[in-house]
Amino acid sequence: MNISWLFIPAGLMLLAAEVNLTRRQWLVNLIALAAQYLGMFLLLTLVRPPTLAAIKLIVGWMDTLVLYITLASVGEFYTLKAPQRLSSGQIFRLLAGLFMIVFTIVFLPQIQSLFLMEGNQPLLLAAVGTMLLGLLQVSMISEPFYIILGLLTFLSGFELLYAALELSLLLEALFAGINLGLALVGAYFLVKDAEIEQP
Amino acid sequence: MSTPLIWIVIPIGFAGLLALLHNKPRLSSILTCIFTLGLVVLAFIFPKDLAFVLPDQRIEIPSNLVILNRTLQITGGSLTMVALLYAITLLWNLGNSVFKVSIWFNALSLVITALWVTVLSVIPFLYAALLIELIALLSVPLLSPRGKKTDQGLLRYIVFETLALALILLTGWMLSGISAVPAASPLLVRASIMLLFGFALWIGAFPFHSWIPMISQSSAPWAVSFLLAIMQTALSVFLLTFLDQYAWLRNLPQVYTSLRWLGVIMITFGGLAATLQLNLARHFGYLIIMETGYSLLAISLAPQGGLPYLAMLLLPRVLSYFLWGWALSGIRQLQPEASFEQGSLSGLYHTFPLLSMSILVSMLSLLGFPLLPLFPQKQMLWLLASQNAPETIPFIIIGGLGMLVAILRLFSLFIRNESNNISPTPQKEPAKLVVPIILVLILMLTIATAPQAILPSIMEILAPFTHLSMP
Repeated sequence: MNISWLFIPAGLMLLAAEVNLTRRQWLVNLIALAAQYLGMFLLLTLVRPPTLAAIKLIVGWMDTLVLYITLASVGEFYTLKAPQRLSSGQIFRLLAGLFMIVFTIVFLPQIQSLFLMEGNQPLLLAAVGTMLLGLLQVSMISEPFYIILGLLTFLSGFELLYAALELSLLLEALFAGINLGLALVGAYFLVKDAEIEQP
Repeated sequence: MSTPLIWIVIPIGFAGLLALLHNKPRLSSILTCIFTLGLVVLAFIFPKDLAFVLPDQRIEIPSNLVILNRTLQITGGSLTMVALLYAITLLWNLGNSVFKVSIWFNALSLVITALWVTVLSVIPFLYAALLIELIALLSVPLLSPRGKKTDQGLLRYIVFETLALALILLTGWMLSGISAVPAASPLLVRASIMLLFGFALWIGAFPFHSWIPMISQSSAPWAVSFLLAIMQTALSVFLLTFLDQYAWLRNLPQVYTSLRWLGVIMITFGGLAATLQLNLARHFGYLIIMETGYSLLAISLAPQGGLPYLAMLLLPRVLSYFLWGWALSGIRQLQPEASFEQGSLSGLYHTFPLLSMSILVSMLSLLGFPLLPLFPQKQMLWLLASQNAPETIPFIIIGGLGMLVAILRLFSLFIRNESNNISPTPQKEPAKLVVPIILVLILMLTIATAPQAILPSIMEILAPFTHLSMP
């Protein structure tokens, strides 16, 4: 089976994670998050029946929707800003993210042997790359919304990796619960902090 | 009817009912206390073979419940641990009716406890990693209620638990490879390292500890003391599950050595860091770190007979945490502006004599001071450590001395007869705050003077771990 086309969704996932790491515009971030879950779904079809893979897509888009509705409803505090030129901090994060992606590509054969995966190169590239970008995001940012985005990114990479290793319905259900829980916690933080900023 | 249904599914369902009653806090508190008391009593009186013998028939309660092809199992041997976890919830729910931490405390505390019971009973037990992450997410409303800005410590807690989840699940996948290929030694070393890292993240081991003092400072003392007490108790026992299930893991000599040094570092660090603290609430975080260190030390001494002392630490430790949480919450209730910063603690004894002394007694108890309930167990652990790993003793002494210095400094602050923020005139400590303190002190003194009367029954917690060494 020719799987080279799967490098496209893998690239989409990495691009989305890189955008979330670099930019600070919540609408752009949420669109990137939704695109990330679409890429994840396409990659998952390699190791899962489409019906099971669709669960992750639905849960991921629900996460995005929860965060979107919250951000849209908390009013002026999180106003949309027009696209700005990249600041020095954003350029730094962009380069750090690119370094991580290059690092993953270079060491992909070793990572493959570590996880005993002979094929599935696009899946592994997307999974490990997304995990590293998510980790980078949670370690570089202190704002709750972006930490939750980072955790969702990290988890989507990890879920992709683990899907290739093991299939369990309970595991899928628990992962769905955790993803939704993270999105709800993110929404809770947003509402709470907005209430304090605008009493 | 099965045991997981009684102690997991029904409590979660009941918590759903409590959530509907969140606007009626008094009714919700009363119902929670009655319900958890029922669960504790039931866990104690349930026959260990799970069979009720009636005159004409024998009724056996199944210990398994299958959900999505995975099993939840609560055997008769696990019921003591289940009783202890629900007893913690009962104690803290009694306090919530006084301190009113959150309208969701009753429901969330019950769900969190049921999930901890699930953590200890799910097969394969590596799925517990996901449940622990869920517990962390459910803790958020208790640790950071509305009206308070989101704390960095809480964010770090969620991040660390998420990273631990990934490490533990990957360990689980590697372990399945090891059981199939016993000689796969590189996998074995890799799995052990990842497992230890995962556990270090879970328990807040040094250097992943920073969130514990941070949330101790920023969150309500009552909620923090509950969540950390139940987490520390459950995780100590959960680590035993790993060691009990995997022969290769417990037979690796480096595992016990690593656990021992991890524990000793936490004891030393906790003690030394406490001496530098200027905020009373942060002391609790360092006490937790130190006590986790003692748990790891006891587990590392399992081959030499350290496990019974781990089990016997649990109940007196919980009582000390209760005393601490109660005293701090009491002070905050009587003096809402109390910041617990060093400057505001001056002369605290003259204002709140019993509450301030309760803080010191709980700290001394956790330190292992003579005549207090943790002394006999800690004395035995010090003895075992000196016999089997004498190189650790100087570090344990340094940690203990550090905590003692912190306690003496607090004592001198409390009795100082000048004050800045807190009024020097004695305030009446209401009976609803005083009576539970006196009852807990009496219980602690009973355990200290007659440990053989209460503590041996707690050792049944170790019954499921048949592969670990018992003296």
